[in-house]
Amino acid sequence: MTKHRSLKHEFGPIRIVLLVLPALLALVIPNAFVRDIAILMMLWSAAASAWNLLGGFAGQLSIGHTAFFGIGAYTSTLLYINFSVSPWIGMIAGALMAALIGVILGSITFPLKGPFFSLSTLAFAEIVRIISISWSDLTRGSQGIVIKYTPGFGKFVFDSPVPYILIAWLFMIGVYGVAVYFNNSRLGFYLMAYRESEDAARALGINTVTVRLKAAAISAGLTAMLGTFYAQYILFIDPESVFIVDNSLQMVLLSLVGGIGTTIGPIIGGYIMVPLGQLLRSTFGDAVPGFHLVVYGLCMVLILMYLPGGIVSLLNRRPFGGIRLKRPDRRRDGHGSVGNA
Amino acid sequence: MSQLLVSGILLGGLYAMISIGLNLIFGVLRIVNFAHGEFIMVSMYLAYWTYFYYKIDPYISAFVIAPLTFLLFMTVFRPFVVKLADSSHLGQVFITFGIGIVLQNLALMLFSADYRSVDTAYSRMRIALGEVQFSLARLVVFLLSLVFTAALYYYLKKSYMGKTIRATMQNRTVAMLMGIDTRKVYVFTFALGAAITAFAGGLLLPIFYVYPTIGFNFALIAFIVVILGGLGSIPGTLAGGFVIGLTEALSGYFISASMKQLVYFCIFILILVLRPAGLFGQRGTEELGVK
Amino acid sequence: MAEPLLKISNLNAYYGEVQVLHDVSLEVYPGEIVAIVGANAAGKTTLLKSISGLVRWQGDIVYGGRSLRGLKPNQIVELGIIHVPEGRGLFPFLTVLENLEIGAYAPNARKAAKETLEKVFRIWPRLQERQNQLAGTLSGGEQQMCAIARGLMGLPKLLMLDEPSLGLAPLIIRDCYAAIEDINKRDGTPILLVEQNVKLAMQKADRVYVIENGRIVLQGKGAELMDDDRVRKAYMGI
Repeated sequence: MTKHRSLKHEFGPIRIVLLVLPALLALVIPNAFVRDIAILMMLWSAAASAWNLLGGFAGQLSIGHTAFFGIGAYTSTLLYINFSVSPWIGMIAGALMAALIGVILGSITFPLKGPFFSLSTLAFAEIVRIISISWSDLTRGSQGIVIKYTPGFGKFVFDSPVPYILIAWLFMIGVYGVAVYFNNSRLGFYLMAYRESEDAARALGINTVTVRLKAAAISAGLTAMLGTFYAQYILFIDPESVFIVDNSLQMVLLSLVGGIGTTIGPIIGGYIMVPLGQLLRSTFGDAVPGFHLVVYGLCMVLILMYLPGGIVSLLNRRPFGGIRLKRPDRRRDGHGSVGNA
Repeated sequence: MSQLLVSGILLGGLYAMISIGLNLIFGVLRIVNFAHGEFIMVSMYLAYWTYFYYKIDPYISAFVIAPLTFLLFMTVFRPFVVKLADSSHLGQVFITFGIGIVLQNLALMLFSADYRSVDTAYSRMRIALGEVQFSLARLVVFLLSLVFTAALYYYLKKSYMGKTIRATMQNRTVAMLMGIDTRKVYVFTFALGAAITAFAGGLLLPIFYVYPTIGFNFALIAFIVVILGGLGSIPGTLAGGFVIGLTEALSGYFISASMKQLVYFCIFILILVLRPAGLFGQRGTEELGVK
Repeated sequence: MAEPLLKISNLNAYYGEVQVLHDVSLEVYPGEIVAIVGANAAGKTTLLKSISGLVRWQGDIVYGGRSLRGLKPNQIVELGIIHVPEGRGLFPFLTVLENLEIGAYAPNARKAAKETLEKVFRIWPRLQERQNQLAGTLSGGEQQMCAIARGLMGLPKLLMLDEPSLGLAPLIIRDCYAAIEDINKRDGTPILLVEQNVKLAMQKADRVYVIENGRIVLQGKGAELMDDDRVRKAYMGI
């Protein structure tokens, strides 16, 4: 049965190695810098995967996901600071909150097409960011919130990097698992059907709105949980770190680079872009301000221009479940592209 | 009160001027250009340095930078525009966003984050009409925005190339069946939009400081104006500019800068959801060029 | 028998990754009306799109002695092959007049545009009446007239029509085909048309090809095929 075969594919030897790698490296190499990169790598790979559930599988390309990230971070943190609620519980609360908001936002914006949908998600995320700055009674505004360093499992604060590594890794595996589920389930099938052709999906009797809202809720909730993890890892949150558009774009970029719509794509994207960004910043960041971003930006542009299907498309010639990023009515002439540039 | 109105209208013309180029690129071609702000920034810096080193007035260099930009995009940057046009919307977002990042940080590297401005003979000149005062530079931009709007409107409506552009935008495949080389049309229109944007940059220099990150605010306003006014509608851009300019002038005292942004974003979403064609867009045109 | 104007040999055509046409061969001789019939998604539109250069194909398409391989759509239009697409393909927010003007985009057509326009308005006075109306607001029949008129503006040496009768009332279809036949008889323009309405195709065309699942399964003179049992059973429900 296809299900069986693809599950073997999703958890095949290469995949297992890839998935375990960062955690292994982090545990084995005693360098703090390496550990930090590994944790961030897993965090952002997980976030990108969570985004991919809605963006890749359903084709609803949001560039405002940082709103959910920040909602998760702030919900758990505020509950902890104000009511001493354990961040673990706060994490669930944040996820539910984000899921709810995701559903509401989705029901308003899903009818919008293409770039209009994306732009509206961006606008929404910026609205949330501005509110988080202005409503300082609730959020402490731009000065942010510091989480006291008091180690304890219940407080989701640890004195050794190991638990952070493991938790980050569990998140990454968890979201990957959800992606695998999507890839092999009816929900995922319905989403992909919608993505390929809304009319065809409707004609098949699929309730395209419901399935997308479900995907939105799951995607938002998972992203929020990662926001909580971020808060507990960095122990400081402010609007400039959890609500900025850069985070949204990072999530999308990782998925694009690795292979949007695939299960392993966002993770590969994270493995490549996060260390690249960190290394560039640490090497050049101080010497020549801005240079590392120039390089990063160039990489982004080149990869997207010449590898629109992501890294995964290099590896398989027909990415499993991958989105075609070229518009389908462009002629693909075996003799060369239409016209000369 | 009349002072506010005049300021608002002048500002509106300014906002329209920086948005016209985006209306051609995003409104007509439906290419999401996240580097729009950076186009303006680069043009402003070019004007700045030509003034700094050669004492050439920015208004004059604007007339040189614009055609140069047009030529650049028709020739050297042509393959890039073609690639952009063939990419998905998300690809366009990120490619142009990446370009924007590169440009911003190049400016940062080369020119540092310092705020720079020019002081030309007239940049501080103000005109007084009765109780109302305004700066000459803003008047110039306002008048030019009217000129450009009218010129572009008639060009798109009456000229054969204008009709070709509109046809290509409405149905690219059928345009090909008419014998139109749609790639040429895309490149031409993009180059035109970029040139107008570059021109606007030169005009802005006497009014605003230039610094590497100035692009974001301009881009934000341009997108709002274009969507509000109606994608692909040139008079709409002017109207949208006036609405935003007046709103800003009238609310200027009461709302902080960040709240203003909040309002703009809310307007943005509202328009997209309630009347995506914008104030002046033809109903249904918002569907064109998007899946 | 004269040389065929259009000769397609062993055509395989693809829509994206999917192969839609398999080993299709067909000819159009000067002055003929040739029809292609078949069920939906049998590949009829893809055939026309291959000729006009919109989809990827292998095999050979030869027009007036020269191969169309590697030619861009606008070059093919300049050769005189005009494709009136399925669903009319009018530019909805351009006026009737503007649509017609764009129809004469190719250089040779543009030179003659003024005369062609007069001719077109003589054939279809209704279009002249509605010339400043947005094409998207026309009725189905008017749109079809406009689409064919626009095709004529391109000075076609081979006119290709994709489902001209689609969605039209019988009386309008009659007028539409009258115009098509007129173009063929009076100007001598060969016509390649795709039709869902099998009976109509067989009545109006000189020769008919039947496509099924991307392959030509039958061909012959219209009148003969009408008597063919296979055709009657499969397509005419008899």
